Amino acid sequence: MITIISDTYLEGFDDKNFFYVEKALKSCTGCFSCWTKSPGLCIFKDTFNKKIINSDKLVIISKNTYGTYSSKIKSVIDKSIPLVLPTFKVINNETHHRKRYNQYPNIHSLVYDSINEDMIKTYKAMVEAHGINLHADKVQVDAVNKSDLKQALTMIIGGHNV
Amino acid sequence: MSKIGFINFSPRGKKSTSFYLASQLNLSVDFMDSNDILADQAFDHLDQYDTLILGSPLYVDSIPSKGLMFLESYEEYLNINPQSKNLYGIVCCGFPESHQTRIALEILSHFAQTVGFPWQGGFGVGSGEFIGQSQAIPITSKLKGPLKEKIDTFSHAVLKKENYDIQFCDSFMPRWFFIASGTTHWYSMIKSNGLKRTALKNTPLI
Repeated sequence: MITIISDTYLEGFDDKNFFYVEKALKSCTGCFSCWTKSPGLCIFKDTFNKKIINSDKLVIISKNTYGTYSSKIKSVIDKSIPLVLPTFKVINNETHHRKRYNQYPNIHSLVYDSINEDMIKTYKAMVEAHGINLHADKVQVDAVNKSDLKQALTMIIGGHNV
Repeated sequence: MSKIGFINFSPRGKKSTSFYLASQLNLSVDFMDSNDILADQAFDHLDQYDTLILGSPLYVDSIPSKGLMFLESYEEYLNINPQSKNLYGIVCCGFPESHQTRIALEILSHFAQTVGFPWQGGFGVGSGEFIGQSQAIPITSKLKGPLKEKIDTFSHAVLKKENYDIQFCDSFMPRWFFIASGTTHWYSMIKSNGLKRTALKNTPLI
């Protein structure tokens, strides 16, 4: 199963596990309840975590916002930290959080409205780092024009989610 | 006379490491919370500052969503009310390797570029939770690495409106010790909340 979260509405994908984040979720408060009071669960109920962790692939469609996800998408991602443990592991000579689950989705991001190559470079580095922290085996980023998003998403979905 | 404003992106406000670090600067700074400015749409309040320092924790390799909301809305305001300010950043991450803040500092530089502010650099701090929670240990302690030196040189650069480039500051704490003490901390938190030790690894979503 592929889960798609997008900060822009794309017609024709409503029945394909497509979630349009029209408004930012209530921000993560950094309370750590998801690690120490209700391990694995955010105290707010508006997360996408169940969909994310039960997917083979997470497609993230976002405006390039200074080299990172838009605030709408980031509000979803910030609240995904209960998907990992608070304890640590060294990966690529850096400290990261350990896995909570055995399997994690691969990440494929379509980024649009990039102002310049530097912002695309930073965005790619950010998604790579996000992939390491979410224990994704594969990470891919494609910078596309906003008008080409539907075509790019159709190619990613292929025969899935039908 | 330079007027300097510090804007905190941390959801923990005055209890955050970002706030603590800013409070250690050798500068006269007005402290503000991005949430307050955003809630009141009080961006015109920022017009009086010729230098802004953005302070942020690292949330999933980037700026927290509330910080991004602030930047997006501030950009809209600046499109209508163009102006120029020196922009600096301070980013702290929970991991011991301060270089993990590099991407977040780049993001702040891209914001500066987008709105036409001169990006003057900043510094990234590792072991943020430790730095924030160990305020009883003097900032000059060897355990805190070159933090005092970074704060002093950063303060000097801000005061002189000079470029600071991007610099990093790791605590003088072996990684194995950070991992061991962090693990002990999280298990003790679980127990203090009345849960069994094994609950830390619950997998409620599958």
